[in-house]
Amino acid sequence: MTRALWTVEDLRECLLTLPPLELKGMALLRERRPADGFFPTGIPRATMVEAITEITAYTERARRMGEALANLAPIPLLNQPVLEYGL
Amino acid sequence: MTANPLLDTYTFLAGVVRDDPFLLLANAVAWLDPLWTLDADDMELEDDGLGIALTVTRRAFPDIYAGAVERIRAGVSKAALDPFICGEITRRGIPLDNLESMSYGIPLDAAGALLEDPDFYRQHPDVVPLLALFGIDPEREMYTVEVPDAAYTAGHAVADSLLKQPDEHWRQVGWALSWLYSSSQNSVVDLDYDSMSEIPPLSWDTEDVAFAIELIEEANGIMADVSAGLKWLQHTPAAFAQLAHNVRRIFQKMKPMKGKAGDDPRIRLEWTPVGDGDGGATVADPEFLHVRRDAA
Repeated sequence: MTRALWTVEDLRECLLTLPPLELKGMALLRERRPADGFFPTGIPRATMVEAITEITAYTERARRMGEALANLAPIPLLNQPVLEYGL
Repeated sequence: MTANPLLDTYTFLAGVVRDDPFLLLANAVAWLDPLWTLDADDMELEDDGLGIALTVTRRAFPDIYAGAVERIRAGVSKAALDPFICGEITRRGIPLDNLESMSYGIPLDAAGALLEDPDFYRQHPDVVPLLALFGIDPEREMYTVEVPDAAYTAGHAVADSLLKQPDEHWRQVGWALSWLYSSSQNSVVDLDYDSMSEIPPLSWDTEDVAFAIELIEEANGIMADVSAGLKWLQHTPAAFAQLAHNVRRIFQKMKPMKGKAGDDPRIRLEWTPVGDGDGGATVADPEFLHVRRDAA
Protein backbone atom coordinates (compact mmCIF):
# COMPACT_ATOMS: atom_id res chain seq x y z
CA MET A 1 0.00 0.00 0.00
CA THR A 2 1.37 3.42 -1.00
CA ARG A 3 1.46 5.98 1.80
CA ALA A 4 1.20 9.55 0.59
CA LEU A 5 3.24 12.13 2.46
CA TRP A 6 1.28 15.34 3.03
CA THR A 7 2.57 18.67 4.16
CA VAL A 8 0.60 21.66 5.41
CA GLU A 9 1.38 23.32 2.10
CA ASP A 10 -0.23 20.42 0.25
CA LEU A 11 -3.30 20.84 2.39
CA ARG A 12 -3.39 24.59 1.75
CA GLU A 13 -3.03 24.13 -2.00
CA CYS A 14 -5.77 21.55 -1.97
CA LEU A 15 -8.12 23.99 -0.28
CA LEU A 16 -7.12 26.79 -2.66
CA THR A 17 -8.17 24.72 -5.65
CA LEU A 18 -11.77 24.96 -4.46
CA PRO A 19 -13.70 27.46 -6.59
CA PRO A 20 -14.40 30.79 -4.83
CA LEU A 21 -17.80 31.06 -3.19
CA GLU A 22 -20.25 33.14 -5.18
CA LEU A 23 -23.24 34.52 -3.34
CA LYS A 24 -25.94 36.77 -4.77
CA GLY A 25 -24.84 39.61 -2.52
CA MET A 26 -21.29 39.40 -3.87
CA ALA A 27 -22.57 39.53 -7.43
CA LEU A 28 -24.71 42.55 -6.60
CA LEU A 29 -21.72 44.32 -5.07
CA ARG A 30 -19.54 43.55 -8.05
CA GLU A 31 -22.10 44.66 -10.61
CA ARG A 32 -23.95 47.48 -8.88
CA ARG A 33 -21.42 49.14 -6.58
CA PRO A 34 -21.75 52.91 -7.00
CA ALA A 35 -18.72 54.97 -7.89
CA ASP A 36 -19.26 57.29 -4.94
CA GLY A 37 -20.46 54.98 -2.18
CA PHE A 38 -19.98 51.72 -0.39
CA PHE A 39 -23.18 49.85 -1.07
CA PRO A 40 -25.47 49.63 -4.10
CA THR A 41 -28.86 51.32 -3.92
CA GLY A 42 -32.08 50.99 -5.86
CA ILE A 43 -32.04 47.21 -5.94
CA PRO A 44 -35.52 45.63 -6.04
CA ARG A 45 -36.84 44.55 -2.63
CA ALA A 46 -37.30 40.90 -3.63
CA THR A 47 -33.72 40.68 -4.92
CA MET A 48 -32.36 42.22 -1.73
CA VAL A 49 -34.39 39.90 0.51
CA GLU A 50 -33.18 36.92 -1.49
CA ALA A 51 -29.54 38.01 -1.18
CA ILE A 52 -29.88 38.73 2.55
CA THR A 53 -31.57 35.39 3.21
CA GLU A 54 -28.81 33.56 1.36
CA ILE A 55 -25.94 35.37 3.04
CA THR A 56 -27.50 35.06 6.52
CA ALA A 57 -27.80 31.30 6.02
CA TYR A 58 -24.18 31.26 4.87
CA THR A 59 -22.83 33.23 7.84
CA GLU A 60 -24.78 30.99 10.22
CA ARG A 61 -23.30 27.88 8.59
CA ALA A 62 -19.85 29.42 8.80
CA ARG A 63 -20.35 30.34 12.46
CA ARG A 64 -21.46 26.82 13.34
CA MET A 65 -18.56 25.34 11.40
CA GLY A 66 -16.14 27.63 13.27
CA GLU A 67 -17.58 26.49 16.60
CA ALA A 68 -17.35 22.86 15.55
CA LEU A 69 -13.73 23.22 14.46
CA ALA A 70 -12.85 25.01 17.69
CA ASN A 71 -14.13 22.01 19.62
CA LEU A 72 -12.83 19.32 17.30
CA ALA A 73 -11.40 16.29 19.06
CA PRO A 74 -7.96 15.13 17.84
CA ILE A 75 -8.15 12.71 14.91
CA PRO A 76 -5.28 10.23 14.59
CA LEU A 77 -4.10 10.12 10.95
CA LEU A 78 -2.95 6.55 10.60
CA ASN A 79 -2.60 6.42 6.82
CA GLN A 80 -1.96 10.06 5.88
CA PRO A 81 1.11 11.35 7.72
CA VAL A 82 1.43 15.12 7.76
CA LEU A 83 5.12 15.67 8.43
CA GLU A 84 4.82 18.99 10.30
CA TYR A 85 2.60 17.43 12.94
CA GLY A 86 4.39 14.11 13.33
CA LEU A 87 5.25 13.03 16.82
CA MET B 1 -4.25 69.82 -13.38
CA THR B 2 -3.32 66.48 -11.78
CA ALA B 3 -5.91 64.11 -10.23
CA ASN B 4 -6.24 63.94 -6.46
CA PRO B 5 -4.29 60.80 -5.39
CA LEU B 6 -6.63 60.31 -2.42
CA LEU B 7 -9.60 59.92 -4.77
CA ASP B 8 -7.58 57.51 -6.88
CA THR B 9 -6.94 55.48 -3.74
CA TYR B 10 -10.69 54.96 -3.24
CA THR B 11 -11.09 53.73 -6.79
CA PHE B 12 -8.07 51.48 -6.41
CA LEU B 13 -9.35 49.98 -3.14
CA ALA B 14 -12.84 49.49 -4.60
CA GLY B 15 -11.26 47.57 -7.48
CA VAL B 16 -9.26 45.39 -5.11
CA VAL B 17 -12.35 44.58 -3.08
CA ARG B 18 -14.29 43.74 -6.21
CA ASP B 19 -11.62 41.41 -7.58
CA ASP B 20 -10.72 39.55 -4.38
CA PRO B 21 -13.38 36.93 -3.47
CA PHE B 22 -12.54 37.03 0.23
CA LEU B 23 -12.76 40.82 0.50
CA LEU B 24 -15.89 40.84 -1.64
CA LEU B 25 -17.51 38.30 0.66
CA ALA B 26 -16.54 40.32 3.75
CA ASN B 27 -17.99 43.44 2.14
CA ALA B 28 -21.21 41.64 1.21
CA VAL B 29 -21.62 40.33 4.76
CA ALA B 30 -21.13 43.83 6.19
CA TRP B 31 -23.76 45.12 3.79
CA LEU B 32 -26.40 42.39 4.01
CA ASP B 33 -25.88 40.70 7.37
CA PRO B 34 -24.50 43.44 9.62
CA LEU B 35 -25.37 41.61 12.85
CA TRP B 36 -23.72 38.33 11.91
CA THR B 37 -21.36 38.35 14.90
CA LEU B 38 -24.02 39.34 17.43
CA ASP B 39 -26.07 36.98 19.49
CA ALA B 40 -29.28 37.91 21.31
CA ASP B 41 -27.64 36.72 24.54
CA ASP B 42 -25.03 39.46 24.12
CA MET B 43 -27.67 42.17 24.04
CA GLU B 44 -28.44 43.96 27.27
CA LEU B 45 -32.00 44.67 28.32
CA GLU B 46 -31.37 48.38 28.15
CA ASP B 47 -30.23 48.16 24.54
CA ASP B 48 -32.64 49.66 22.10
CA GLY B 49 -35.55 47.52 20.99
CA LEU B 50 -34.54 47.52 17.34
CA GLY B 51 -31.13 45.98 18.07
CA ILE B 52 -32.71 43.21 20.10
CA ALA B 53 -35.43 42.72 17.50
CA LEU B 54 -32.87 42.31 14.73
CA THR B 55 -30.76 39.80 16.66
CA VAL B 56 -33.87 37.87 17.66
CA THR B 57 -35.39 37.82 14.18
CA ARG B 58 -32.06 36.85 12.65
CA ARG B 59 -32.14 33.67 14.72
CA ALA B 60 -35.86 32.92 15.01
CA PHE B 61 -37.37 34.49 11.86
CA PRO B 62 -34.61 34.87 9.22
CA ASP B 63 -37.08 36.05 6.57
CA ILE B 64 -38.31 38.89 8.81
CA TYR B 65 -34.67 39.81 9.48
CA ALA B 66 -34.05 39.90 5.74
CA GLY B 67 -37.04 42.18 5.26
CA ALA B 68 -35.87 44.48 8.07
CA VAL B 69 -32.29 44.74 6.79
CA GLU B 70 -33.58 45.45 3.29
CA ARG B 71 -35.67 48.31 4.70
CA ILE B 72 -32.73 49.66 6.69
CA ARG B 73 -30.56 49.67 3.57
CA ALA B 74 -33.39 51.35 1.67
CA GLY B 75 -33.40 54.15 4.26
CA VAL B 76 -36.62 53.25 6.10
CA SER B 77 -36.85 54.96 9.50
CA LYS B 78 -36.73 53.14 12.82
CA ALA B 79 -40.27 54.31 13.51
CA ALA B 80 -41.45 52.49 10.40
CA LEU B 81 -39.45 49.36 11.18
CA ASP B 82 -41.20 48.86 14.52
CA PRO B 83 -44.66 48.15 13.06
CA PHE B 84 -43.14 46.08 10.26
CA ILE B 85 -41.32 43.69 12.61
CA CYS B 86 -44.15 43.60 15.17
CA GLY B 87 -46.71 42.97 12.43
CA GLU B 88 -44.70 40.13 10.89
CA ILE B 89 -44.08 38.40 14.23
CA THR B 90 -47.76 38.82 15.14
CA ARG B 91 -48.67 37.26 11.81
CA ARG B 92 -46.59 34.21 12.76
CA GLY B 93 -48.70 33.70 15.89
CA ILE B 94 -46.97 35.71 18.63
CA PRO B 95 -48.86 38.97 19.23
CA LEU B 96 -46.36 41.80 19.72
CA ASP B 97 -47.24 45.43 20.43
CA ASN B 98 -43.79 46.98 20.38
CA LEU B 99 -40.15 45.98 19.97
CA GLU B 100 -39.20 46.94 23.53
CA SER B 101 -41.32 44.09 24.87
CA MET B 102 -39.05 41.59 23.10
CA SER B 103 -36.27 42.23 25.63
CA TYR B 104 -37.86 40.08 28.29
CA GLY B 105 -38.50 37.00 26.17
CA ILE B 106 -41.65 35.97 24.36
CA PRO B 107 -44.56 38.04 25.70
CA LEU B 108 -47.54 35.90 26.66
CA ASP B 109 -51.03 37.05 27.57
CA ALA B 110 -52.46 35.92 30.88
CA ALA B 111 -56.19 35.29 30.58
CA GLY B 112 -56.55 33.42 33.88
CA ALA B 113 -59.69 34.00 35.94
CA LEU B 114 -59.28 35.70 39.31
CA LEU B 115 -62.34 34.46 41.14
CA GLU B 116 -61.35 36.19 44.40
CA ASP B 117 -61.09 39.60 42.74
CA PRO B 118 -64.34 41.64 42.57
CA ASP B 119 -63.00 43.46 39.48
CA PHE B 120 -63.04 40.18 37.59
CA TYR B 121 -66.84 40.07 37.81
CA ARG B 122 -67.15 43.66 36.65
CA GLN B 123 -65.11 42.76 33.57
CA HIS B 124 -66.95 39.45 33.04
CA PRO B 125 -70.53 39.91 34.26
CA ASP B 126 -71.65 37.01 32.07
CA VAL B 127 -69.98 34.47 34.39
CA VAL B 128 -71.87 35.56 37.52
CA PRO B 129 -74.99 33.36 37.00
CA LEU B 130 -72.80 30.37 36.16
CA LEU B 131 -70.57 30.76 39.23
CA ALA B 132 -73.61 31.32 41.43
CA LEU B 133 -74.41 27.64 40.81
CA PHE B 134 -71.17 26.85 42.65
CA GLY B 135 -71.95 29.10 45.62
CA ILE B 136 -69.82 32.03 44.50
CA ASP B 137 -71.48 35.40 45.04
CA PRO B 138 -69.31 38.43 44.17
CA GLU B 139 -71.91 40.81 45.67
CA ARG B 140 -71.46 39.39 49.15
CA GLU B 141 -67.99 40.88 49.83
CA MET B 142 -66.60 44.21 48.77
CA TYR B 143 -62.85 43.55 48.65
CA THR B 144 -62.36 39.81 48.27
CA VAL B 145 -64.81 37.30 46.91
CA GLU B 146 -64.99 34.14 48.96
CA VAL B 147 -64.50 31.04 46.82
CA PRO B 148 -65.08 27.82 48.79
CA ASP B 149 -62.80 24.88 48.08
CA ALA B 150 -65.89 22.87 47.24
CA ALA B 151 -66.53 25.20 44.32
CA TYR B 152 -63.18 24.25 42.81
CA THR B 153 -63.79 20.56 43.46
CA ALA B 154 -67.22 20.64 41.86
CA GLY B 155 -66.06 22.94 39.05
CA HIS B 156 -63.21 20.63 38.07
CA ALA B 157 -65.50 17.62 38.21
CA VAL B 158 -68.18 19.18 36.00
CA ALA B 159 -65.60 20.51 33.56
CA ASP B 160 -63.93 17.08 33.27
CA SER B 161 -67.29 15.48 32.57
CA LEU B 162 -68.34 18.09 30.00
CA LEU B 163 -65.07 17.90 28.08
CA LYS B 164 -65.77 14.23 27.40
CA GLN B 165 -69.15 14.94 25.81
CA PRO B 166 -69.67 14.46 22.06
CA ASP B 167 -71.92 17.54 21.92
CA GLU B 168 -69.89 20.60 20.98
CA HIS B 169 -71.96 23.04 23.06
CA TRP B 170 -71.42 21.06 26.23
CA ARG B 171 -67.70 20.76 25.53
CA GLN B 172 -67.59 24.54 25.12
CA VAL B 173 -69.25 24.93 28.52
CA GLY B 174 -66.62 22.51 29.82
CA TRP B 175 -63.88 24.82 28.52
CA ALA B 176 -65.63 27.78 30.15
CA LEU B 177 -65.48 25.98 33.50
CA SER B 178 -61.87 24.91 32.86
CA TRP B 179 -61.01 28.57 32.34
CA LEU B 180 -62.89 29.73 35.44
CA TYR B 181 -61.29 27.05 37.63
CA SER B 182 -57.86 27.24 35.97
CA SER B 183 -57.76 23.60 34.94
CA SER B 184 -57.32 23.81 31.17
CA GLN B 185 -53.60 22.85 31.38
CA ASN B 186 -52.78 25.83 29.16
CA SER B 187 -50.73 28.49 30.99
CA VAL B 188 -52.11 31.39 28.96
CA VAL B 189 -55.66 30.36 29.86
CA ASP B 190 -55.04 29.33 33.47
CA LEU B 191 -52.61 31.94 34.80
CA ASP B 192 -53.43 35.49 35.78
CA TYR B 193 -50.94 38.28 35.12
CA ASP B 194 -49.22 38.06 38.53
CA SER B 195 -48.78 34.30 38.34
CA MET B 196 -47.48 34.54 34.78
CA SER B 197 -44.95 37.17 35.90
CA GLU B 198 -43.46 34.74 38.39
CA ILE B 199 -42.59 32.24 35.66
CA PRO B 200 -39.36 32.75 33.68
CA PRO B 201 -40.44 33.86 30.21
CA LEU B 202 -39.86 31.73 27.15
CA SER B 203 -36.73 32.70 25.25
CA TRP B 204 -36.63 33.51 21.54
CA ASP B 205 -34.85 30.23 20.77
CA THR B 206 -36.37 28.36 17.87
CA GLU B 207 -37.84 25.62 20.08
CA ASP B 208 -39.39 28.11 22.51
CA VAL B 209 -40.83 30.11 19.62
CA ALA B 210 -42.47 26.99 18.19
CA PHE B 211 -43.83 26.09 21.64
CA ALA B 212 -45.15 29.63 22.22
CA ILE B 213 -46.95 29.65 18.86
CA GLU B 214 -48.58 26.32 19.71
CA LEU B 215 -49.48 27.50 23.22
CA ILE B 216 -51.03 30.76 21.98
CA GLU B 217 -52.93 29.04 19.18
CA GLU B 218 -54.35 26.50 21.63
CA ALA B 219 -55.24 29.28 24.10
CA ASN B 220 -57.03 31.21 21.36
CA GLY B 221 -59.04 28.12 20.51
CA ILE B 222 -59.93 27.48 24.15
CA MET B 223 -60.93 31.10 24.78
CA ALA B 224 -63.10 31.05 21.65
CA ASP B 225 -64.82 27.94 23.05
CA VAL B 226 -65.14 29.66 26.45
CA SER B 227 -66.88 32.60 24.84
CA ALA B 228 -69.15 30.37 22.75
CA GLY B 229 -70.00 28.20 25.76
CA LEU B 230 -70.93 31.15 27.96
CA LYS B 231 -73.02 32.68 25.20
CA TRP B 232 -74.83 29.39 24.59
CA LEU B 233 -75.63 29.00 28.29
CA GLN B 234 -76.96 32.57 28.39
CA HIS B 235 -79.30 31.98 25.48
CA THR B 236 -80.30 28.40 26.24
CA PRO B 237 -82.25 28.24 29.52
CA ALA B 238 -82.77 24.48 29.16
CA ALA B 239 -79.03 23.93 29.06
CA PHE B 240 -78.47 26.20 32.04
CA ALA B 241 -81.14 24.32 34.01
CA GLN B 242 -79.50 20.99 33.16
CA LEU B 243 -76.12 22.29 34.26
CA ALA B 244 -77.63 23.61 37.49
CA HIS B 245 -79.18 20.20 38.13
CA ASN B 246 -75.88 18.36 37.67
CA VAL B 247 -73.96 20.87 39.82
CA ARG B 248 -76.56 20.37 42.58
CA ARG B 249 -76.11 16.61 42.31
CA ILE B 250 -72.38 16.93 42.73
CA PHE B 251 -72.71 19.16 45.78
CA GLN B 252 -75.27 16.77 47.30
CA LYS B 253 -72.89 13.87 46.75
CA MET B 254 -70.00 15.81 48.26
CA LYS B 255 -71.93 16.88 51.36
CA PRO B 256 -71.84 13.65 53.37
CA MET B 257 -68.18 13.13 52.44
CA LYS B 258 -67.09 16.39 53.99
CA GLY B 259 -64.34 15.87 56.51
CA LYS B 260 -64.51 12.10 56.28
CA ALA B 261 -61.85 9.72 55.13
CA GLY B 262 -62.62 7.13 52.53
CA ASP B 263 -62.86 6.59 48.80
CA ASP B 264 -63.81 9.42 46.50
CA PRO B 265 -67.49 9.41 45.68
CA ARG B 266 -68.54 8.47 42.15
CA ILE B 267 -71.26 10.25 40.24
CA ARG B 268 -72.68 9.55 36.82
CA LEU B 269 -73.64 12.83 35.18
CA GLU B 270 -75.92 12.95 32.18
CA TRP B 271 -75.87 15.68 29.56
CA THR B 272 -78.66 15.95 27.03
CA PRO B 273 -77.87 17.83 23.84
CA VAL B 274 -79.99 20.96 23.72
CA GLY B 275 -80.83 23.29 20.86
CA ASP B 276 -79.12 22.38 17.61
CA GLY B 277 -77.65 19.21 19.10
CA ASP B 278 -78.28 15.65 17.95
CA GLY B 279 -81.96 15.47 18.74
CA GLY B 280 -81.95 15.41 22.48
CA ALA B 281 -80.62 11.94 23.17
CA THR B 282 -79.25 11.58 26.67
CA VAL B 283 -75.49 11.08 26.77
CA ALA B 284 -74.01 9.80 29.96
CA ASP B 285 -70.56 10.49 31.13
CA PRO B 286 -68.57 7.60 29.62
CA GLU B 287 -67.18 6.70 32.99
CA PHE B 288 -68.15 7.25 36.55
CA LEU B 289 -67.00 10.65 37.65
CA HIS B 290 -64.56 10.88 40.50
CA VAL B 291 -65.06 13.87 42.73
CA ARG B 292 -61.78 14.45 44.44
CA ARG B 293 -61.95 16.29 47.71
CA ASP B 294 -58.32 17.30 47.46
CA ALA B 295 -58.67 18.98 44.07
CA ALA B 296 -58.43 22.75 44.20
